[in-house]
Amino acid sequence: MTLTSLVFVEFMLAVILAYFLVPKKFQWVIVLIANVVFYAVGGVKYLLYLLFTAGATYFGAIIFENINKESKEKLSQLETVEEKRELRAIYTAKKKRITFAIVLVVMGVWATIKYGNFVIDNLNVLFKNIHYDFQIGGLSLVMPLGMSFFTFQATGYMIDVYRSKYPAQRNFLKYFTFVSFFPHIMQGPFSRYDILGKSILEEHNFSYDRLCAGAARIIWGFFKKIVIADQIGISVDKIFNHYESYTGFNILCVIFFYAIQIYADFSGYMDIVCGFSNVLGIELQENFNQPYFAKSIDEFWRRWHMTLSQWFRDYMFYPISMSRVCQKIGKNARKVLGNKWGRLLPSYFALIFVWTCTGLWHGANWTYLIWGYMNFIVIVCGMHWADYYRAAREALHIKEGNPIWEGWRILRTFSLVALFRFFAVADTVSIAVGMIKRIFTNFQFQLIIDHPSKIYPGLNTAQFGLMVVGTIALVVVDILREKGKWEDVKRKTPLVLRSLIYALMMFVIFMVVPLAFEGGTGGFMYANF
Amino acid sequence: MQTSNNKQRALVLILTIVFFLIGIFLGKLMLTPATLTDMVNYHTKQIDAAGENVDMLFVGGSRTYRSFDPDIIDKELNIKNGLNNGSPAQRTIFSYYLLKEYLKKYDPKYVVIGSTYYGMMFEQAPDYMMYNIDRLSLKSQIEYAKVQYGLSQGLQAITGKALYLNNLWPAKMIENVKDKWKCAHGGSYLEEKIEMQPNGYKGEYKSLESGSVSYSYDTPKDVFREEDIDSKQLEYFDKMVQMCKERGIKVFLASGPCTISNIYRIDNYQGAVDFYKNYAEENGIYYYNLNYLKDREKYMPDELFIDRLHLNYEGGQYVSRMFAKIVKDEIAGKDTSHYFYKDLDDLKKHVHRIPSCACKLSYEDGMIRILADSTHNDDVKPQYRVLAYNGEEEGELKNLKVVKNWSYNNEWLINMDELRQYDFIRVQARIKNNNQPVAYDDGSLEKYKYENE
Repeated sequence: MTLTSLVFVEFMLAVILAYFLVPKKFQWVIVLIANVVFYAVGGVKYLLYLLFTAGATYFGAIIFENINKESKEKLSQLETVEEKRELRAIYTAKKKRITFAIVLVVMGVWATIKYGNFVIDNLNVLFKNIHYDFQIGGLSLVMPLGMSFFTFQATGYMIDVYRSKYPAQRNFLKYFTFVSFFPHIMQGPFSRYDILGKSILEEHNFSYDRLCAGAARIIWGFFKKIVIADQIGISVDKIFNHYESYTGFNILCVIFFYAIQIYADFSGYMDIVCGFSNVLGIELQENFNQPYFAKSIDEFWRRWHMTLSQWFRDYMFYPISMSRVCQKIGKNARKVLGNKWGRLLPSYFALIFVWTCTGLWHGANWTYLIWGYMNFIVIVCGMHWADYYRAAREALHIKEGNPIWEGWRILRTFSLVALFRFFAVADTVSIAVGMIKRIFTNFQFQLIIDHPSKIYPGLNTAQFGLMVVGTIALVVVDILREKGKWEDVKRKTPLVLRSLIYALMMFVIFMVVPLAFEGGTGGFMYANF
Repeated sequence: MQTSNNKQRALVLILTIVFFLIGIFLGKLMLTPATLTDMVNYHTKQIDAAGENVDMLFVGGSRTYRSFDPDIIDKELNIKNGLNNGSPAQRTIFSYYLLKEYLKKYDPKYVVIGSTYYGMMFEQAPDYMMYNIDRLSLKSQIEYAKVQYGLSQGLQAITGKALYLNNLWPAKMIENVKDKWKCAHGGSYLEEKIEMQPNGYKGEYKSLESGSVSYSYDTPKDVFREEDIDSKQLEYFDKMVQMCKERGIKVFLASGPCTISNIYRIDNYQGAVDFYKNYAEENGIYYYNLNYLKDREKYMPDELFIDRLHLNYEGGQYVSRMFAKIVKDEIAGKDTSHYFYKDLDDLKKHVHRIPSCACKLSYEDGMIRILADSTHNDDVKPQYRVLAYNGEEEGELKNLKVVKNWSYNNEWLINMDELRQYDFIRVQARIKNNNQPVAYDDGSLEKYKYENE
């Protein structure tokens, strides 16, 4: 059931109706039923993975809570600091062992399904290269819908309970409702239990305000996905699939087309799920903060897929950088290389893990790994040479906040992000390199001047024009949001004009959406990750 | 304050819905071009206003409305108001609903159902439904959409997809409105080189060059298999035939002609013919496959078609005259088998040329690989030739060069440097020492010209 199908719209309406018709204490049950139905439509057998992950982390969290309770009781009975330290260490070690075991199992299942064939393929290549006549057969496993998302989310919940951030949810059905919350299971956001879980289980009154705000956001999401992302995706696919048949100019364009496509696709999805959740009164965390206005790669990742970055920060970066090993590395580096290295090296060490995992999380391919490391290198260089950049800017008398300078930084960051994505999207490293090479060896700008329609293969001029107008609208909205003027503009827009805009968006969506028998437009891009 | 806010919100909601509906209405008015549907709807209004009957009704796809001119058939059979309700890609279920609706108003003597080899094998694409749907009343539209697509898809199709993105230019939008106005108030509008008649017949003044019908090298042949027949389509086909028989209406199944080349590209074409023949015999109705009209190579050459599937104006007039004669003889109880070849093998015995050719170009390390294929009888061995040229001017190929002369070879590897100055490759196919026109297909060199320049 794709989110931009009429079937899903009908499903949403049915859920909203049922949600507000049942007694409030059963609202979460409606959500649970909707989750199960939504997931089962994709294949009942995949529910088992969801149940397994939810079950393992549910029991893990309860065990931790019990351990925390027990340790608190026992600690209160001890008198000396040494005794308390010793007991704490015992319980911590116990918790760590259990965490390790559960994370190994839960993540192990996920990793096997996602990376099993990647590892096998590379081993087979290695065997071939060393003339070893042995080949491992591939695994025929299908990745269940949203497995990357619910696995990480459930693991995050369990670790939060381990850290005593909040109490464990003792009702398995209520916990399962949180893990399987259907609007965000395919592409996130990664929600924390203390925000989403709490929100799902609260009772909500129907609010006309929320209905209007939610509906407007859903329409905007559909518009971005269908009118912008899906349309430009036609050209992007054509060029990526047969790049040797296109000019270097086409390939240069596709770098930027893809940047537009993925943003419109992903943020459109977010608008749909957040809008729907808002109607129900359920709070989902925001995932985007006008990312293409970022002035550095570091800042970009604080604005793009924010919840993923936060997950890696809280559950990987901080634990690694604060670990004893890293602290020791930092101490030694300070002695040998100076204060700056001592301060930054633990972060670099942690970041390399984070970006390895971030790259691989996006896909089981060397291209994603390279993409991850590209980001890592630029971020680390930014951190390490921050002082030199500042000094250079001051020497050139460029004031902080200078619009031209800021504009240059935004453009630079956007270009780097778009270029790095190239490697992520290409099927192999050699294809990515071949495409980059073609920009310089076969630019053929004159061909494009003679035949402008070759800029957007697979689209007619009207489709491309509509996509451009949609993109301009998206940029305008993002500029207003960035300047904090969006709510003001919305409020001050005359009623009639607001209605006309909504109607126009709905009309354009209707006009553009293709009719597929199975319903809906092409799937969302981040659902593949 | 709360009341005022609620009123505002309600107003936004109402206005949004109203504007959206206005948009759909204006979209249908301005973004959809005038079509044969507009003309047929106008014509039926005239018939109804005059209180007259429709004596012969046609349903079916594009080969129906391009093959049968009711005016010609009316004259021959001495009947009135023949109406061709064929429409693009019209399939069986739509035909059923169309027929059902028209039989409520009229009492025809004859119904002709366009029958193609693929007609009952797969569903109609929703886009095509948009050309036709306005021929039905709203109630029938919804009923049909529910049966064919399911309610939600169907409603989406009825309201939304009638809108043509290409018609977003203001000039085109105005033209659409003007054309529709002309249709609604005069029953006609003129499109360059196309004849569209209020009786539902459409013919184009366009002609294929003999041998120019080509096909895609990599596309496999179509296949007719009885097991691929969709049971739902067959169910509605039966319903249509029974509906007519109950009213005492004579039913004719008719396959409108396509090019010889197209027939050769269908595996088991005779199977499809036999299927309809047997069906007609079992149900006491008539079946004519107009592809098997005798001497078709003389009277229905490629020049009487606009593409591999559809007759042009002249072709439609010829077939209409033949069909009228055949039906007249049939009604009079005469034998009509002498108008037709017995079967596909009998037809093929009278084809003495290569009907069509296909070529495929690919680039390999500075070389162009050219592959050629053609449709022909089994006892024929075709010869091929490769030409290069720079486009066409007044029917002549510019800077023409014979790259490879006639031979039985059908694969060549040519250095790109030899071809870089040309824009197109043409592969021709012939039967040696036969003075029939050659078949040909063109491939573009444009995308290869910039390789390693």
